[in-house]
Amino acid sequence: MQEDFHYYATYCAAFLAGYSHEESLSVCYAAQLVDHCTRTLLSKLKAPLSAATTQLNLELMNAPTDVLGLQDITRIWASFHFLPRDLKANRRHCGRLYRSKYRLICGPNGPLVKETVQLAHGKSLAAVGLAMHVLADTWAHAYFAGTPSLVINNTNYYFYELLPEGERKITFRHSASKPDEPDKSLYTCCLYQYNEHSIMNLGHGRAGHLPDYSFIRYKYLPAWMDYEEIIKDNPADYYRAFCQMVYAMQYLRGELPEFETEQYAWNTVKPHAVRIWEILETRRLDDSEDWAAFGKTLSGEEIPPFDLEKFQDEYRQAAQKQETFLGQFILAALAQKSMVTNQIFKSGNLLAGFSVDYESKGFMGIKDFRLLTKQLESGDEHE
Amino acid sequence: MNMNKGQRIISFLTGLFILGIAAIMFLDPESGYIFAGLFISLSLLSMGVRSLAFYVFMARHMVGGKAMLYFGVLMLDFGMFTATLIQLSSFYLMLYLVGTHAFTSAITIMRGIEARKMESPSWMVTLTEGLVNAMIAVLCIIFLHTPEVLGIMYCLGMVYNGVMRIIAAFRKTEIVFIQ
Repeated sequence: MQEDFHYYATYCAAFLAGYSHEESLSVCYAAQLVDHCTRTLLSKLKAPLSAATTQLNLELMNAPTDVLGLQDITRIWASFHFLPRDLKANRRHCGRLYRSKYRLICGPNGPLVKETVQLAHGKSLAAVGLAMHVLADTWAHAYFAGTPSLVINNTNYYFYELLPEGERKITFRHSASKPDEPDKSLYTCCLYQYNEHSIMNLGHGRAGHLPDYSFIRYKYLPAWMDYEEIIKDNPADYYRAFCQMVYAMQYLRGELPEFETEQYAWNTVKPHAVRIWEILETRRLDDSEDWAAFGKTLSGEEIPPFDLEKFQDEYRQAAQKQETFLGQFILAALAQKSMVTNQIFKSGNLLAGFSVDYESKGFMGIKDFRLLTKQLESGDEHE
Repeated sequence: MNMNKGQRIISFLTGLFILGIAAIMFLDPESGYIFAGLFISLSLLSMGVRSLAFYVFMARHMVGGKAMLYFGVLMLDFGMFTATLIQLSSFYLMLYLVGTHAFTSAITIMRGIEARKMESPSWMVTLTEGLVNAMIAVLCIIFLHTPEVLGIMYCLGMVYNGVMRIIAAFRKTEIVFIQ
């Protein structure tokens, strides 16, 4: 998903869930920050680099693709953008490595979504925003995995857009400078690379930005699905994502006793359903304006554009960095990454690296995560 | 191809190796042909075995994965065939090397045309590389019965290839990456 949904739509969902205007701004800021918090940014802030929630193109191109490098890439992308749906998925007659990658395929309403939302319970608004980004991406990025893998993430020529007047073949090109042209079904995607671990085979690169456009409905053959066709109805998926975010935030605000998967705040969103569907189905690459206007009708307040520099000075100058907004975001990111890596490791999958059980073995590993143990000692729990 | 640091190092070293083979062929054509043949044979065999292994363990579950199987078998066959040619006279080995060169250049030209259709920024470099290689292969065939000229033409082709690989190692590529 893009800024229009992660920032503006999340604001609207937060407001509908009962957060105030200011609180909603904090939530949506954190949700969008997940797409910007790179090692480069953290290095500039002298913040823990392990809290990176995404990687720049340049960082990815220079990233090693040996075992450790792949584990590092997988930890970031599987934790924040391609949350695995079923870590115990069964795939018969295949090797262990293939099965491990198969089990990282992203999808909504998996057990890890519940863990993600519960992890944010009782925590800061930054943690809420981060959880909403992860939850929303499980809908958009479904059927792709957050690890470089040709055999899971590849696509082929079979790509058709489903329009009211019929099907239209989607044409892909590899031009970074030219924008996508929905009117001609002409989109940019990553180049085919036959190397299994090429960065070009990470996530939904081979499908271009199609999963991130709310208006598009299309069908294609996922590489892992034995020639079965998938129909991706983005407007419907995005609507469900929105309603699930509202439900999740109602839980996080304390209105609901539990968060369960496959539950949505249909009734809360229903009065605005027509407007939301109108936004989702408009054939436009960026719906930020419409979502911002919708947000203004909800709260009566303007939503300022996303400003990456907004909290940076506060973080730099603070003595107690954990008390700042970015400090809380960093803690939430570390907790999320720690939880997901732990779950992947416990399922017998080594693609995200090793995870050490803190309670039985004490602290081992990357020292950035000491911030979480310090929080544990101060009374807050983390996986 | 978009390359990371490791791949750039490999490209640079491969370019140097090819330049080395070209230098040996200039100085001692007989040994040079054998080196070239051996190198190509081992490369093809290695490519074939890796492709087949990848197909067996991973790609057989992938849509379009059979292409890896066909590719692996083809490379293995070519690799074994190249190895058998080393024992024959240098003329036949040279003929084979020129043929392989011509085939590779045809593939490179097709890749360049495909890249142009896809509006990839690297299309011109790829196409030029293919055309130059094809021109060298054609000249080699024209001078087939003049071994000295043939040897020089082939060496020039290898020098061009080596230099292109070294340049590619340092070239900035515009990355299309979807986040």
